[in-house]
Amino acid sequence: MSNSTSDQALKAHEPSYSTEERRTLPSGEEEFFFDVKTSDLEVNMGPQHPATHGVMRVLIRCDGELVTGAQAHLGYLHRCAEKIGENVEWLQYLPYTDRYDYLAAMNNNLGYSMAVEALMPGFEVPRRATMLRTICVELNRIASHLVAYGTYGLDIGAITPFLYAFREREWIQSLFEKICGARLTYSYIRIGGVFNDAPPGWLTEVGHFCDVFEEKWKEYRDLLALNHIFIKRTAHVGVIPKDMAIDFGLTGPMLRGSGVDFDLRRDMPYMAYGEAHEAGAFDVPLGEGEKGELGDCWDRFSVRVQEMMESIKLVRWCLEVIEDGPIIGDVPKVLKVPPGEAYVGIENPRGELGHYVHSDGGKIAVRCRVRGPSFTNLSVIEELMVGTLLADSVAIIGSTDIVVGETDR
Amino acid sequence: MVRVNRYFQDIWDTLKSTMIGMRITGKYLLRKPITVQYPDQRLPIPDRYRGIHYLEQEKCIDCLACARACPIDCIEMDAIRHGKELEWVSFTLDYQKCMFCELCVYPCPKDCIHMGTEFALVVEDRSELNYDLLSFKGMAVDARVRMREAEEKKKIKEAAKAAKAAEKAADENDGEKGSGSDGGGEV
Repeated sequence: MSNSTSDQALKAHEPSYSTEERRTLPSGEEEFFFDVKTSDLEVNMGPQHPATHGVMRVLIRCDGELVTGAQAHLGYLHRCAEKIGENVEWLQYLPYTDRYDYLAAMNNNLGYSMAVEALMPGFEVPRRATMLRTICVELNRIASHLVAYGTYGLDIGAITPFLYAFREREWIQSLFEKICGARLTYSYIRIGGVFNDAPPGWLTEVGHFCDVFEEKWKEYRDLLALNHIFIKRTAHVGVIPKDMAIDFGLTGPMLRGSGVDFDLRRDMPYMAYGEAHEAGAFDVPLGEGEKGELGDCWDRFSVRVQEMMESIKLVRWCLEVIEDGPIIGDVPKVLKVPPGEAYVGIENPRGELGHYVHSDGGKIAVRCRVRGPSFTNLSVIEELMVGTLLADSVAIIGSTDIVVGETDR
Repeated sequence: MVRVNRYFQDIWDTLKSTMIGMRITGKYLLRKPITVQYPDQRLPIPDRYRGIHYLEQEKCIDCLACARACPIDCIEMDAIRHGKELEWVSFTLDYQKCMFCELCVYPCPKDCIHMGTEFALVVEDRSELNYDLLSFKGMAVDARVRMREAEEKKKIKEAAKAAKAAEKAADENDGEKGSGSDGGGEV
């Protein structure tokens, strides 16, 4: 679909050549007129470009400042993550799930664990484990959105908010370091529950973090989201109408930025989210076209900023209802999963992260497949960038908030 | 006219949001620096930190549970068994491969492999990253003593057994001789 559109755009911008003209001036001198030969210029954005958020190459065809076609080239970070899943044991695949979406590793752990648990009939995760999972996943969502917030500012040209965002992200990382020992690749959520119980005082510190973060969140909003220069760069840019968002299969903030009210946490509740929604612990923020049109870059950005606050509310609710108990269900050391196949989709910070696993009753998966949100969300840029200015292409790519590790896997 | 108004409105809005930004950053102007001068000062490392492993060699029974749990096969161990005692040859962990996932720690039946708080993997050559976790090779002194004691006990036991067997055999022989002599009545 995107290819045909960019071809049409290319045809509309066919280079026009005119013949050379010459005339003699009254003074006797000869003057030559050359019409400027215009032909489309292909610019490589990437593979190593700070605005592509990883090793990704976007081939941009431009006529002057106008972008007439764009094509994303993927695969620079391909590490065969899915194939590895068919060669190692169930639990051994867990550390690999950390590594495709490295900004939201907790969510990946959760998605994979839930997919394997879905294959075990009658298995239930203990309640304390569910709550610890929810707290960690939501904290990770905040950390991931903070990176999205900071790096988007960086793309547009604002460096300060990035440093402010990383201050709180650092705190979240040290919280994770206390509970599981790692700062980025956690492997904390495990098939059947979680690895470790929260150390003493950890839950209190999380509560303290929530209090401080609420104050800081207002700073983020004033510093970047409501900044006039930032609004000028992002409003009315890269508009995705509702229909287009649904057609491209967008999920997460990309979809909600266009005003489509869909969130897996609420509409297909898993873990404690159904209960939390009934208790009114979180809302689903939607883009409203407040500063520009519905579905522009600013709306998507704004949805992410608001979601951080919703996550804080969810963490607070979990801290209220959490109770003592076992943290992991009865899972054997050498796990043999009953035969069958399962697909479980969860709401990653970037959208729907789906894991499809197929077991034949052995120690190793027969098929392991991942549906990454970044990969699907990225597909829309080829359509979006046609007809915009070259300077806006950075704003559009940044607003998709992709993690290249996950588009390539 | 509308355009002119918008032009000045934009300038005003930009100035205003710049001032808001400056106010927020200004709040942090007089704060103490939070930078930690790394090699001299260090942040506290939590107990559960997943750093370089350490091994409680005396407890280890060479069961290979950790090596089997490792997703990338970076643990290799070799030990010679002398009855119950182990003579260690090597227990290497390849930190070029290791991804610090802690999956090797959980299946250990003796709880003897742990992840420590050391994290600096600075070497001059890559091959040096193949760490040997053994503090000593061969057998520990007390293990050797235990083995020798066990061997001595075994020898004593065997000797006692042999003596018993010999006695028994002698008794039987005596009995046979006795029965023979009884019948003969020559002695």
